Amino acid sequence: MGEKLPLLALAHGNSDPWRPTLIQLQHLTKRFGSLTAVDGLDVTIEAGRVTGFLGPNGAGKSTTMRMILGLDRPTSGRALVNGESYLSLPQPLREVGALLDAKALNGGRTGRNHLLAMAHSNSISPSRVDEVLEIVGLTDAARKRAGTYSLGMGQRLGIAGALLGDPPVLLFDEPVNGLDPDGVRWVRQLMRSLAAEGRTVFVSSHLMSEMQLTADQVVVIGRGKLLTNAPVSEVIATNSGRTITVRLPDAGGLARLKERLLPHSSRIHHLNDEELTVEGLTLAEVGDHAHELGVRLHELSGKPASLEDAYLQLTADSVEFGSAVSGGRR
Amino acid sequence: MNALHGAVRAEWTKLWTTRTVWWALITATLLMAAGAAQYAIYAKGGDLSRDLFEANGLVGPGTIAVMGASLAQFALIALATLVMTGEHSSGLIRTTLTWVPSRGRVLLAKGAVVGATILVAGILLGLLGAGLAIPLLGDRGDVQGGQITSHALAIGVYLALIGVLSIGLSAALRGPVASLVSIFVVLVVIPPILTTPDNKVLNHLAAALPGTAGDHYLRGSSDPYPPAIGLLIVAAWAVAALLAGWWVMRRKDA
Ligand SMILES: Nc1ncnc2c1ncn2[C@@H]1O[C@H](COP(=O)(O)OP(=O)(O)O)[C@@H](O)[C@H]1O
Ligand SMILES: [Mg+2]
Repeated sequence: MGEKLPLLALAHGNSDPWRPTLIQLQHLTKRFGSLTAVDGLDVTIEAGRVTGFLGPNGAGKSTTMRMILGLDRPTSGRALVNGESYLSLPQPLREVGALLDAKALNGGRTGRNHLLAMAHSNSISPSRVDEVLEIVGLTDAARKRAGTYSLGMGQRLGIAGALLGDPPVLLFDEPVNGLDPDGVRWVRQLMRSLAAEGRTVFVSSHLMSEMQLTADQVVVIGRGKLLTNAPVSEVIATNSGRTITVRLPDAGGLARLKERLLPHSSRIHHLNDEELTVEGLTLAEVGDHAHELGVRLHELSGKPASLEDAYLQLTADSVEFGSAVSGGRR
Repeated sequence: MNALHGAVRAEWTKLWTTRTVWWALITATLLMAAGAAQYAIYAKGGDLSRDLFEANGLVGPGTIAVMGASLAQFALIALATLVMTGEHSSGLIRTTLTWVPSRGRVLLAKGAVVGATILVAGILLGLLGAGLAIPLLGDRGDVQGGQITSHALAIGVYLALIGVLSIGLSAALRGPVASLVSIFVVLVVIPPILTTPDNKVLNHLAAALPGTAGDHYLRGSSDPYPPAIGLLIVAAWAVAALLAGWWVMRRKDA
């Protein structure tokens, strides 16, 4: 079961360790009129790790999550949780916890009463409501009307709801939206500890930097189509070359070094009279070549490749008009 | 059955944890009080339609309560409609359906909770209307305890069925305005339009509408059909509306 953070003592008298539970998307497709929002996704999301669900705005992440939860009907294909359709689960909150849209509640009801109704629906003990309120740090605001909550508090209430049934599978659609840096760190830690307990954690985001720190595995989609489904490290390695910066004090040395590296490197950029960027070689290799040539170096540095670079490269062709950064619906 | 029990408890909690229900009940009480008082005063002065008076020239307080209920029903229809359409306007429906994915169960639970609440409220409103009518009717009043309670019960049953009808229709139409307007049109706008020309076919049509059928049931009139048939017609409308709502909820994305 891995280690548990004491802060997040989530299990409530559930002595059986749950069987590994997974999410299966089988040729999942959703069309809205002529728009294909989700296009034949075939993905299995495994237990015990955080799977990031990446894609630019409008890529189809939320639609996919709605189909997993039985809210949208797939045009074809299906989404299964532990081999079953969500619609057939008698007490779904004990199997799947989800945060889709934190605003999807009646603002006139207090946060606690919202969770209380939720608990009743799946015969969950009301004492569990106070437990999850404590976990998300909303105890003090629990008796205030949810309409008065800030974006971040709403998000915490949504996360409390996702944890309510102590489910083995968790879905979070853009969970860090509206959270302050502390909140973001807290969510990241929560995801990690949920996965460490053996749960299946599926988190969508359009923020690549966030996923690099949180996810073990990433599923990247663009325009509804699967672009990649691989461990984070692999995505970074295969999709973004590591870039090395070399700075030299004299233009002659620079020209000679460039000539020397050309046959070995996939790409060399001549930035100015003193600077080169090199891809496809290691720092050691570049250093050795410079040493053999006897050229003086003022800088030899490598920028670590990031998921961000990999992601931009992957989705370059599938970004809807200018929507990679902003716009579109969540 | 267990799952339906959970859904009912959730809907019960939801109903009683916003202010909507209180506004609706207070409004219904005011409408019943005002309506019953006014009709009782008219009755006392003999200014009511003749068929409301009994053979001995007296008026039953229960009859006055029934007339009050025809006003009070709008507050309760609004309650039932808002309970359902509010889920769509806030997006709460997507949360509700992740708790209880079975559309039929959500609809049954809402119908049961709203129906039961309105049943009790309706009976109490009926007793209130009759109770107000007794002193105002004075010697025009035909005070028979049994009649008063049976009228109050009938009011509760009729209002509960109309509430369930509103839930079903709102589930099918989703928007509050569309739902309220449709119910209003079916209950009170269409019947007088149909019956004005006094055409046999149109009269039959009007008699099959829930408002008219409910009226027969509540007044115990046996003109085109006995009161029990009136009750059955209202119940059939409620079931049909629930089925329509269920069909739409299953077919459409939430
Ligand atoms: N109910 C809907 N009706 C029509 N189009 C929709 C609907 N929901 C989503 N879309 C469209 O489907 C595409 C995918 O949307 P979404 O799943 O929200 O993407 P993401 O969550 O990745 O930003 C977008 O082009 C969006 O406009
Ligand atoms: Mg989205």
